[in-house]
Amino acid sequence: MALFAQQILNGVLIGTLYAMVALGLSMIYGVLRILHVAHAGMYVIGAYLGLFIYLRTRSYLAAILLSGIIVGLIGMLLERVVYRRMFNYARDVPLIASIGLFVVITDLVRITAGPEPLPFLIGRTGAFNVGGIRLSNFDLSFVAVSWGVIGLFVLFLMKTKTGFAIRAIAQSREVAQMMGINVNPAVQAVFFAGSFIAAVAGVLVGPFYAYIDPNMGNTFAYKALAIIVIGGFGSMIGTVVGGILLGVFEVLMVVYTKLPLSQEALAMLFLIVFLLIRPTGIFGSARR
Amino acid sequence: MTDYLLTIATVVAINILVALGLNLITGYAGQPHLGIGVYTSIGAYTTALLLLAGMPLLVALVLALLGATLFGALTGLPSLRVNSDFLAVLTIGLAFVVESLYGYLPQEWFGGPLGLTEIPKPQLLGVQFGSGAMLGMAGIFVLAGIAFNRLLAKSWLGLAWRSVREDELASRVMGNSTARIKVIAFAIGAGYCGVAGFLYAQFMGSVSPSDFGFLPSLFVVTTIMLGGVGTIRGPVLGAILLGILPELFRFVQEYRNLIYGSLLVGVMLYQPSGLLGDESLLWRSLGDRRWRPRRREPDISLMPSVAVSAAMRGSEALTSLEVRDVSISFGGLKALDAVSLTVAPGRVLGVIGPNGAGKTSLFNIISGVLRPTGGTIRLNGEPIQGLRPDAISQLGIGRTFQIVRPFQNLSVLENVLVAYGAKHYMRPLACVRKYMDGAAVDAAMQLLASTGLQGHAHLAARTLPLGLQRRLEIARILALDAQVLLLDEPFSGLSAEEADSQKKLVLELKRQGRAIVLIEHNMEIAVDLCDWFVVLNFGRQIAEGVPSEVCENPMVIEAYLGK
Repeated sequence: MALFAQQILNGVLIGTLYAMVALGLSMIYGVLRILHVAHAGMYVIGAYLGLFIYLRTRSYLAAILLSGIIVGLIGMLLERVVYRRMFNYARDVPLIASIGLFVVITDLVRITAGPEPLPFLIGRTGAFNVGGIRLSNFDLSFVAVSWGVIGLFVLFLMKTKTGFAIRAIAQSREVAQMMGINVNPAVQAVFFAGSFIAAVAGVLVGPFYAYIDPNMGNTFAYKALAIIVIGGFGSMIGTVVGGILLGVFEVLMVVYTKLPLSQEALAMLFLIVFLLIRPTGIFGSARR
Repeated sequence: MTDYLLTIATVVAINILVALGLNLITGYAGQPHLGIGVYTSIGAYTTALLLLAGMPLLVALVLALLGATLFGALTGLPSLRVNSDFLAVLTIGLAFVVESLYGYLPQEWFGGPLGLTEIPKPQLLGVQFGSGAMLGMAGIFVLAGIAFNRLLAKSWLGLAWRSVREDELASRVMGNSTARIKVIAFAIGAGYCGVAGFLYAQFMGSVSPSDFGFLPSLFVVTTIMLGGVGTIRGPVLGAILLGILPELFRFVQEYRNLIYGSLLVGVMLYQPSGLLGDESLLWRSLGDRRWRPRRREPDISLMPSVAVSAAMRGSEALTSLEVRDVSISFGGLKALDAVSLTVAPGRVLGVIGPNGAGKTSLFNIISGVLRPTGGTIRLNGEPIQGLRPDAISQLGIGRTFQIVRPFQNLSVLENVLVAYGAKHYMRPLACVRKYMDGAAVDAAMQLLASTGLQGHAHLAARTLPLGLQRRLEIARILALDAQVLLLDEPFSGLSAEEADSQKKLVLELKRQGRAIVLIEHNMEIAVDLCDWFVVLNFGRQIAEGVPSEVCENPMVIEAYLGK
């Protein structure tokens, strides 16, 4: 029983990471109707920047904040330079461009930091037992930081004027524009916030797995797509729930079944079966 | 050295086949597919297993083709349920699952992660194929593939694919069974990949799961996007470029992915239709010098100007529509509550009412786009509710859209031909005949002449002003030989002159004995044209009668003007 609970906990932690990357993707889909595959690149850059800053400053908090801010700016840059110019193009054009961007980002990281995995260790001191479940101090800070950032993100969307504008644009860009909402700054804000939270996920995942490598974003890129589909495109709660569900599902399938599939394939199978049963996602509404 | 060149050429040939296959699915039928490698893998594994078992080459070819085609049709089925963004993600999932399955299934089946090796080279009369013969075989398949693709591109089926790509709903309402059309695109596209896999297995001598996973599939998407999607020259050029460039850039091997990714982003930014796409700089600058077949312009001077000729009218049977107690709810909202109307041949029925009264919902129900929660709809006494939109169109109910939905990038003539083809040619065999053939074009041009569009026949529909787009929508449903016309605000947004000629057209259609249901906000026009009014407000039928009386009805005045 304790083992089972430990597995569930692991699944939830991994699922939280998925949710963090998928949240930005989902918001970006909401305002621009594009699948920003390169978003997983933000997570990779975030992890590497985080390690770089941590090694210089020895402050994990500084790593999280600085990495988040820098990557947020990079996200804004991508929107400004690439996607904004593709607004009137056929819908598969930004998708393909974004896949190209992702390839470029991964390769740039590989060239600058080297192809080998780098260790990312922070002083992990202390662990304690809660009813047979082992929790390290890092696990606790992991939970605090991830849910803190997700909470901030939701507050930003729900309570700020910009967040309100973003939600309006997600409903209808044209109507929002006619109501006097300046679309471009709001879209920039989405890219900043989304990239920020993806970068934080990257900084968290380093110590979680104890190492980072240039290809760490590959599975995230396509799993995050799966999650926003499962969550129903553009739904915040759906995305978070979808991410955690996927994390738990993966862990359980790997530990308790002998299905002859890799973890990625399991996630994708989950997606396919889910989509065929419920084509609009958990909380999604039918919309084209 | 020659061997090296022959090898590259063979790889290019195989990639051309896969690219053409994907292009049929994505470029022609407009269905995104990021996992095309799964079909190639079916062809390759089938071939490998059969050849290793000592089966003859021809058996391997036939089964590779069949297997891929069937799997293509099967995996095309989800496209009927989900929208295109979902489909893109779903096909990524497919690529991962299939790749993983080959690797993780028992080693005896597919050889596990390392795949199958030592696949025998093809032989002819006991002599093993060398590099040259291998290239020759691949070349023959490529030429056959291009020839078949040309045939498809010019066929009724190809036209139907393009109509689905432009606007799936409009294509259905034009009488196309879009479900079948999409599945056929998946099947044929997958068939191309199956043949490519057949060649690949023999050429490489081994197959492994990672040859066909997501990244190789992505490479194919890049190929067609780079060259020019939706054309034949595009995938061919793309495959050649992507086959040769890595060889030229061998000295920067280290940065290959970087160059590849940047190229992709650059082309998408600056030449979004591909290097040789229809909108690309290169293709347009070639445009003036390019050879074009001469168009045969039918002699329309002999044709009636406004009257739609008897030839186009086809059946003389007069048709009437009867809607009885139709209701529909969205969530808790009753959008229509027991609405009834009847329209007889040669009559114009006006459906009027304020915005949100449920008028367009009514049209959506009659044309099969929405299913009513209750009530019956009869065409000449036969119940039709619950039929698919394309079946309803085929029975002779045509509709136009309040917000016009022409097939934007098809020519005006092609727009009409889509409907004409759906009615007359979308049968096995007939559907691969050329759509620009004499009889159909003559009939369509005659229709365009009768609706005043003949001068614009070869322009893309998106370039027409709104007034002409509205006429084009009417011309399309006339090509379906619709006897019941549902016209959704055909006058809205038209200038006074445009409205005037539109009015003449509607009167002419009425004179021909068609039954017309008209949604109109302009009371002057509505009173002028209609024989009978049905007034809706908040989904309920609040009045009906001859226009002059209805306009005096206090309830109607209140609905329009408020208390």
